[in-house]
Amino acid sequence: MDLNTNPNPLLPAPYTLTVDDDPIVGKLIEGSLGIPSKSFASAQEVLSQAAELNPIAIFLDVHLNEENGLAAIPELRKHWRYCPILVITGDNNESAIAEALALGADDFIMKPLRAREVVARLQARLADQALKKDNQSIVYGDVTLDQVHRVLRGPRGERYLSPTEMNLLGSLMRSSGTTLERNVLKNQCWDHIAVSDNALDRKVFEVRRALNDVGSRCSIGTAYGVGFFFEHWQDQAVKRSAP
Amino acid sequence: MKTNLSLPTIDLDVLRSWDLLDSEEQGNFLRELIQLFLNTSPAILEQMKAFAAAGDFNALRRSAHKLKGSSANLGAAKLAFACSHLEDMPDGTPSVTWLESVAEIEACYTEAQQQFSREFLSIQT
Repeated sequence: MDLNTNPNPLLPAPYTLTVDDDPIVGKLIEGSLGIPSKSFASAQEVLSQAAELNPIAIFLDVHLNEENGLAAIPELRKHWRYCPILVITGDNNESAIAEALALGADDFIMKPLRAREVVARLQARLADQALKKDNQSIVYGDVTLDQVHRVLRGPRGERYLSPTEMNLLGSLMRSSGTTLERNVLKNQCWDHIAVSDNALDRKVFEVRRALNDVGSRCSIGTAYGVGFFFEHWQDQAVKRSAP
Repeated sequence: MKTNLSLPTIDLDVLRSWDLLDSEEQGNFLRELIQLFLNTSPAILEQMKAFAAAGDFNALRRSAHKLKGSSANLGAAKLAFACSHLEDMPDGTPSVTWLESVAEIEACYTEAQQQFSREFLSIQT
């Protein structure tokens, strides 16, 4: 992975953010990665400009002047859901590192910084980020299920789903083309809590309505006595035209 | 005397780890970093003296932590060690010991500043 290469010249060149009250840290990160790093002395400064920033990664010092860097992690995460956040710490303090990771940081780097470590850790986290992005959205036909925000997007708009509706639709979309038995769906949606067929039918009804609301031409079909399946309108057309 | 005399004033291995001694271009980058360090550290030292005089030892520890980070990043090993020593001093340590520790940090800084200036900044083109 060459961080210094911009694969698409039409897109802005990649950069990182460094949130550290020591300006040398931003310079060192810039030097090690070979791409610019915008430096901020406080998390509040970054958050106030969040709308204009689109970094590939954030390096955040645990100890900022008047702030606890850790406290800023959830706020940073709200703005940049997938962006790797790497916490920098000068202490070999296990509890601070554990807290940072629990709050949503992706990794940590100890001071003094080492160029090769900075590069290696960022590359590993960028690879994770790509995987995360792949897993968080399911796209099929004309709909996208954003599992992070629990939003179904289609040609006519978007709709929020309840957690159970999201699990149900997610299971069906991931298995599109095959019929999922009622018991399998119940397990996947209610996590082994015993529910009636009626409850499942009501949820299927809600999800069908959601698909309709967003203008999708995908649908949930019923395999009577067996379960349900997800299909795109083109699949339906193929079936209808089959001899 | 708390200074660890076995430590070098400037640990060149740290600078080598950044490939900062390899080329003229990297040499310019190194000089930029050193200049930044020399520009920002005196204010931190002044803060530390003020905090020590005022008996605000928590603030003093925070400043020492900051100076420890930047000095360690640039390989100023003796200075980083002195800052770390102050940072670890327990509550209830007599005021005079804090003041002595700050004086020692200042001495280590002066030593680092001289070596940086002599060995790296003097060849500035």
